[in-house]
Amino acid sequence: MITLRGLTKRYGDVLAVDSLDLEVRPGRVTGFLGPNGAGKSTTMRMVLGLDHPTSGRALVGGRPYRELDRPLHHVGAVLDARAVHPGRSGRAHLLALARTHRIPDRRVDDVLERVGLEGAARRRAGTFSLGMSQRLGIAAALLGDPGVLLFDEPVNGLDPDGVRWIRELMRELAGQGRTVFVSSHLMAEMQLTADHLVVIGRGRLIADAPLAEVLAHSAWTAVVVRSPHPEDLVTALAAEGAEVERAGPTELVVTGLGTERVGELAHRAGVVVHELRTRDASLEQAYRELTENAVQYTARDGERP
Amino acid sequence: MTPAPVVERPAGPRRALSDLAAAVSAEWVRLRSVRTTWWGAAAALALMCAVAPSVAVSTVSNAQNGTVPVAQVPAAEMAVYATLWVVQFVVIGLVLPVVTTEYSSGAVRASLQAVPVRWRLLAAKAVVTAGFAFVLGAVAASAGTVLAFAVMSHPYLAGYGTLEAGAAVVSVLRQGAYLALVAVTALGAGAALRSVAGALTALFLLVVGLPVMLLMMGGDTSVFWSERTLFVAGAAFMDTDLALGPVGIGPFSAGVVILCWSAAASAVGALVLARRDA
Repeated sequence: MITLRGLTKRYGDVLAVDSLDLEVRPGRVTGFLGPNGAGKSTTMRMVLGLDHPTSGRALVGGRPYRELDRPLHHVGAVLDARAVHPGRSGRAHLLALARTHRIPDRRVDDVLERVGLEGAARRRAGTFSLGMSQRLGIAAALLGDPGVLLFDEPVNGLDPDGVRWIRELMRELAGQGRTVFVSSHLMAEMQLTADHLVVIGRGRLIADAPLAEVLAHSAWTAVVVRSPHPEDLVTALAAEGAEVERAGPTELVVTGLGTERVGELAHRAGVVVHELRTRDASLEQAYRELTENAVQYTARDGERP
Repeated sequence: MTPAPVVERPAGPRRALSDLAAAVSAEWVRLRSVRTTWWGAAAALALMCAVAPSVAVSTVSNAQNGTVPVAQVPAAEMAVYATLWVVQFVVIGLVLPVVTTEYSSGAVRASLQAVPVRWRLLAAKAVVTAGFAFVLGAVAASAGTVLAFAVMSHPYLAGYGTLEAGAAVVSVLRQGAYLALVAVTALGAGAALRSVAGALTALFLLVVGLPVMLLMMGGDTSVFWSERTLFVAGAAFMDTDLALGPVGIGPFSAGVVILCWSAAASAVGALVLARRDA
């Protein structure tokens, strides 16, 4: 479990992380969303004791990172896949990390096999593709068999197979009861991976809720009714407190009611219905609504959109 | 497979010491697994083997030509000459990447995740690089001494070089010790400045610029302080008159001076490492 209490990081005049309070719980994948520069990476670095908070605390299992006994057994993290000495082999990189914790060399070969790098492990890391570097980073994170895992933008630049592999890995790790905290700005991917979402913008917490709840709250989530005479249904729907929008001459978009209720009301009003379906919000849509007011770096004239 | 439970050890000096030993073992893996280390070691050996006999030849021919007083010269001093003027700079070049490449590649974040107590990471690096520099320096100095003596034993040069085993061993060990402390100083500078360029500049000024400037200024005060610089104290510590001329402090005081420099550099490096965000 990761706990943030009033976590704040200030760089000069810029408040990168602004009194963040948060609990990231085990047994599920928690997606950490926010625009670039929202403070996601800074927050993760503070959890790992790499950056010093200006104020507040970041705790892992109730303790600051640097007080953990043999921290790689508690926390594994993939921050920047390229952050490996380019002249050192992948295996030597892991071997050095293993030695700090007296983890046997056998475990190094196990994790290399787990991430499918056993064939390339003796090559210099500078020759690795991005996907291979990412796998090496994950091998390092898994080395100590930790209960908490942090991934910072793990699928950036990966091919579809790599993306799917990481998604399944994260699901599996969470399924084993571990805490999985993963930052991303790829919404479609997060929608497939995360159970719970934490959204920040300008360093502040915008949302901390289950994925399903975030999606349900989106204005995009609605029931679409197609009928030759939709106007006969509008009154009945409005009487139930639903919001109704005429999307076309034969189409209504209804928010605030489920398909079952809309169907019942149509039946009662004797309205012929040609189509009745839910329109699911994408996370992309829900996220945009959440962050609309919180985006720090909106495009200005002359800049790329 | 659920995560294995971690059996916590009580915090205290025993745990700290055990973690330091583990970190040292990790740093040795890091040092030996990059080519820079072995290229640097090979360069140090090759330069020693080139410079020490050359100095022997020039010293003896100078004596034969009457430009310097004729004297018996210990072969070990030829190795000291090479250590002071050449090998120590190779050692600096070998040691700096140990810390600066961690910053330039970002690998320091992985290192600090494994060893979050920051002084411990630097201490482990210092132990490993000092040990490596000591062994490298001692091996190179032995080779240089033997080669220089072999050259001076040639009939053309015969009669000037001496090789007294006890004194030679002491000299070899001192050269190793000097290079070990230079390595620690370089490591501290690298940790404090984080970039190879910055650290090299600082070390060049510290090792060469400062003593030369003070000696050029002349005057008792300047000379006094020049003898407290790494380079001049190094010459005194390795007990050579050949490399730099006579120095006004003894080997023991010179050793203390060098120790102070390396301690100061390490302290600054550790402070910066502890304070700054990685």
